[in-house]
Amino acid sequence: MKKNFTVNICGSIFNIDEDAFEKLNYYLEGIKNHFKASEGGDEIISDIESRIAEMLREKLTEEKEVITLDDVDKVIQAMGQPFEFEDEEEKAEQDNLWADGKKRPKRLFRDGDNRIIGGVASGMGAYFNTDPLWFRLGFIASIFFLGPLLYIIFWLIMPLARSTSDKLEMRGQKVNISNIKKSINEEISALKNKLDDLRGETKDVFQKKSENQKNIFDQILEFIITIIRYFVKAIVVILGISLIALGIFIAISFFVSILETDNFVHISPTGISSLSITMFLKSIFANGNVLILAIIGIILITVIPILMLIYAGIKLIFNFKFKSRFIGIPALSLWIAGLIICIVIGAHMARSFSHRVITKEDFSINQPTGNTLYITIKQEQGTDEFIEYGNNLMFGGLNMLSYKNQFIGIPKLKFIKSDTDSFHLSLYNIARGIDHKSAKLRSENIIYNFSQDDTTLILNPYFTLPENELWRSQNTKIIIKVPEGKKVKLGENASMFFDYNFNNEYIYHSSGKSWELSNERIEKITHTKTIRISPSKSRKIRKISGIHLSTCCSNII
Amino acid sequence: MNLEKIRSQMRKGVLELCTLSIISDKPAYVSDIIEHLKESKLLVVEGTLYPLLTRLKNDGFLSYHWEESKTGPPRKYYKITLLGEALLKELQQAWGDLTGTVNLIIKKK
Repeated sequence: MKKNFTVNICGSIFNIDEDAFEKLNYYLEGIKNHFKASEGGDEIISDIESRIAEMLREKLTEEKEVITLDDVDKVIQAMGQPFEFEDEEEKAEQDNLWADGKKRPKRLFRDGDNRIIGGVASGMGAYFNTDPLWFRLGFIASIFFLGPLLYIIFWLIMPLARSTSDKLEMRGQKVNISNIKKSINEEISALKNKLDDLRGETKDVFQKKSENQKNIFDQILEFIITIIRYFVKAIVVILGISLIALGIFIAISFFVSILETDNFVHISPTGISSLSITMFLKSIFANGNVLILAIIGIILITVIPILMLIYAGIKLIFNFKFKSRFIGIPALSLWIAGLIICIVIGAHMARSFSHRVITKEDFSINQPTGNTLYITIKQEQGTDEFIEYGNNLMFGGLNMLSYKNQFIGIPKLKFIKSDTDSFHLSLYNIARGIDHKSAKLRSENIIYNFSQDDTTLILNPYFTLPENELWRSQNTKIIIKVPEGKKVKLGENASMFFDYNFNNEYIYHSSGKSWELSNERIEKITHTKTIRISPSKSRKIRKISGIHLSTCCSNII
Repeated sequence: MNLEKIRSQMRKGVLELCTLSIISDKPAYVSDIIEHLKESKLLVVEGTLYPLLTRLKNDGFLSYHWEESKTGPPRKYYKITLLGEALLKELQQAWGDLTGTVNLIIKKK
């Protein structure tokens, strides 16, 4: 029993055996290939096909309805193989066809069949249609320059021509069935020659040899490539995990920050703190709708990059293929929308901060009996933590914190020279607003208290704002005027506060020390001995009594 | 040099002459031409003829028309043109000269 096809050759229908069909098909393919590029090729092909149809028809009788392989063989024999067509002009065109009639671009492959090391030079020779010897000579000549490196690079980037179609492309021949068969036949005959060469040697030896044919260089290279591949894979996985972890971490922090509504800055007993964006925004926006819009804008510009980070991580690890434009373009659009919202609101907000007003309040204080004014900080529970937090926060102008549902800020402290013989205290309250009037009102609303007993001035560690007051960069400066020749002594408990104000590493632990005004500058003196330091002259750090001092004093004023 | 190659080249030279001669008698169908040529052993494989016919047709030495056939699809019948007849005369002349000279040379031996 045989499988059977029905074919249409030039308008005639034939039943044909499978093997006969394959042979005929291959033959016609060869004919087509042979005449395709020549003038009137299509006509020749159709003439030949119709002649073949005619010959096949003659083979059929009433008893014999199917074309067999034998019939096809006879037809082919009569018609002849393309290379037997003795026509001078066609021959010339056939040569063109081998060189590739359609000018299909060649590809650069390593030619493993003619290689010495990796087949780089032989591949180049095939590509440029020259003797690979020249490339080999080139590599050898440049052995002390870039030759070996270039060779390795070419080895890595040029694929080995493995399949027959690779080999045809390497030589610039068209990839079609007849060329592939031709090429395979060549290989088979080459192999036969090889076998002939090896005749006499035992079969075992030959088999062993073919196993060892994989060049030792190739084996080493493959090993190195495998290692590099695993290495890269490991890095990619680590990178992916890092991206996911980072994304999740930022996302959690962000959502805590959005959901946390108690405090702008939350200080827990364990020292873990968080910044509440919601609270911060609430303290800025008078209008609730604008607040919601601002939160949406911020979520968009923050969450999208986080999600993309996680997405990139997952993509790296699992190496899945997903059309990224379905993710990338919507994500980018949303992000830009968020950005626009934020810019519009930001521009709107900038107006609310456009005017700045400072109101000044002077206070006369009880003059100390001696030369020294003692200053301490009013101690409350949590004060230290709060001040430390403010100290670390370093928001520059933004020294406003919400603490225990109340807006509080740390005032700035300055000492200057007094015009008179007595100590004075002035408060400068600063606030911003959309116009002068609102700014002034806000500055007057700032609440700051201090008290005094005998020789000690007790300062509150923070100023506060009335309830529901919006944050408009409110600030308070305490200016203490010190008469010439008199001293100021800072209390032990005030260390945090003064560290915050004299934010300079050289004056750490400045509490417990005395300060004296001389040459219109506050200078530090020790308990036992008064040493005058003029840091402003040299602006260099000096080491006195184990304490580093520098330009801090000039900063104070 | 192999014998078959020399023979094939000899045949190639006269193939056009013979084909034109066959067609010049009366309009001919490809199979007729092939039969003639095969009988005289001028043609080894049929494939050779098709490109030749097409080339002669394209150069204006031959024309063709389709004729219905009782046994199969329409057949292509070739006919010689005036230009073709002129060429044929030239070729016959050349052939006559050639055979004369060649025979002379061969017989001398």
